[in-house]
Amino acid sequence: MSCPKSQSASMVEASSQLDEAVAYVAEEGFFASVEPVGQVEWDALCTDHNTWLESSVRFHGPLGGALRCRLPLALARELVSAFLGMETGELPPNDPLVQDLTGELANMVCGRWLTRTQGQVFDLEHPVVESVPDGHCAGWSRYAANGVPLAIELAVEGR
Amino acid sequence: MKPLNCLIVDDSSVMRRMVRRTMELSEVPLGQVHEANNGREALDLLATTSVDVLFTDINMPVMNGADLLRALAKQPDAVRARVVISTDGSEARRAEVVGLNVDWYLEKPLRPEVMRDVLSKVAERVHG
Repeated sequence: MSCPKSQSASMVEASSQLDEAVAYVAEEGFFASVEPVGQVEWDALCTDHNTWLESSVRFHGPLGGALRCRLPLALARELVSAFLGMETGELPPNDPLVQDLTGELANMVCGRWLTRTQGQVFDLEHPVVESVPDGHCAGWSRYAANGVPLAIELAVEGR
Repeated sequence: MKPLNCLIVDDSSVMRRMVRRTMELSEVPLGQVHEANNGREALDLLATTSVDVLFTDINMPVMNGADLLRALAKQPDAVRARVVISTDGSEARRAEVVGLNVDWYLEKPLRPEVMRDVLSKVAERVHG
């Protein structure tokens, strides 16, 4: 991060590192396939989803900031099932594991990104999870996870 | 083969469930599998319960994993094997727990085959 690169080159690099972290966590933790998507595909993916969750985790250390994940409830339930080896139908509608998993997703992506890009000790705060009205997230990195929308925002303070 | 008694320490219930599941998939005989939300709860449990292997997160409220391991370092016989499972895989964090009798340092997300290898080695050590 201290290299004298142009701002655009640094942003491309940061975006690529985030893509790697998201793909790694999705594949290793949830057996999910993740691909970056553009605006048109994102809008199409979002049309079927009315209930969304957002998790955020703040980090401290040589770098400070926050990482947020926004995803439909349906994807959160699918990820819980994959994570725990359950059928989606086995999960009660308001199972607290779904919120917990949504927080852990942000936690693991953030941890992976920090480990690979910083290599120094950092502290993650407990994730905060809340319901949000839609998938509107301009400027976030957007993905299709098993064909379902997943958006991530990484905000680093002082960059 | 005597089943292994285990303790999972993590403030996330879904993570504790996942660790428990990977343990069950390992086919290593398991005895009691205890859970704790943080280091303080783990120490309270260990005061009255015999455990062969401890799996602990690092970032936790109340008492974090490093402080738990520091407390247990004064009790070398309290647990036969100590395993960290953390989102922080940095060399700097790993260095922090050197000298605290940590046998394995694993990164989240955790692969089932990694858990199988660890539990198999713990079983060899316990039954050695």
